[in-house]
Amino acid sequence: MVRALLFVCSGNTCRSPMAAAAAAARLGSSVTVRSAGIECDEGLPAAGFAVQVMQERGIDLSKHESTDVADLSLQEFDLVVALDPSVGRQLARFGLKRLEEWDIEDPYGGTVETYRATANAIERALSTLLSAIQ
Amino acid sequence: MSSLAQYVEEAIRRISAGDVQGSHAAGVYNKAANQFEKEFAAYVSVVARIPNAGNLTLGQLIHRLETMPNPHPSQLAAVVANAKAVNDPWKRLKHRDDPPMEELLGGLRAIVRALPLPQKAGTT
Repeated sequence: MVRALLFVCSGNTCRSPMAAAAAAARLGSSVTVRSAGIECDEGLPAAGFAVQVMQERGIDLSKHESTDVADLSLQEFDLVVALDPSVGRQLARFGLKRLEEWDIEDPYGGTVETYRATANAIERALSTLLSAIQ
Repeated sequence: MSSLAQYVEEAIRRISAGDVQGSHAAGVYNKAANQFEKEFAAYVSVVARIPNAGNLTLGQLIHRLETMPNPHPSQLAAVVANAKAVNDPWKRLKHRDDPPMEELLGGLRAIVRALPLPQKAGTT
């Protein structure tokens, strides 16, 4: 049973906040959902296009602030999702309860269409994940 | 060399080599700039005699230096110029932009130029 779910990408400004917000919207309050970056420090907001494309889906990402994975107690999460294999390799050393690895391309520097494609890829991967854990 | 200088030198190498890209580079930049802001606040608290400098943003700290009476304006100007070069890409990130890698590298090189920060106004 998954009660706490963490999404991790590299900078915690695009992919993982989008994934966490999409997951939270589907799961409601039954599951704690967080996101973090593998190397980012605190305080950066989500990228503008990330906020825009999630807003198009009715999800508010405007209040997001980045969190470094080092600042979290990773053992508290039943499942950690790495947004790409490189992040997954870096997370493997933490001895997590369960690590899932996706392959979502970093949209940083792309157009709003790039970010929409990222959101679509996240939605597809999330549907597969949720059907497996719910 | 300070731990910040070491981290930034390594970050420049990793980004230049393509080992760190995209939002990862933005995250690395945020980490370096956050630490630089702390060290810059400690410097400004001494040279501008501001007790609560740690509560100010890098932009506010720069403004305090720019408006401070100083017997060595040219030397302080170099410190201010480097701090502005650090702050400019950081402001873009905070305003939700995706600055290109060259811009982030420019800001990281400015941190290297700025360190070690002088102990008092007018020294190098």
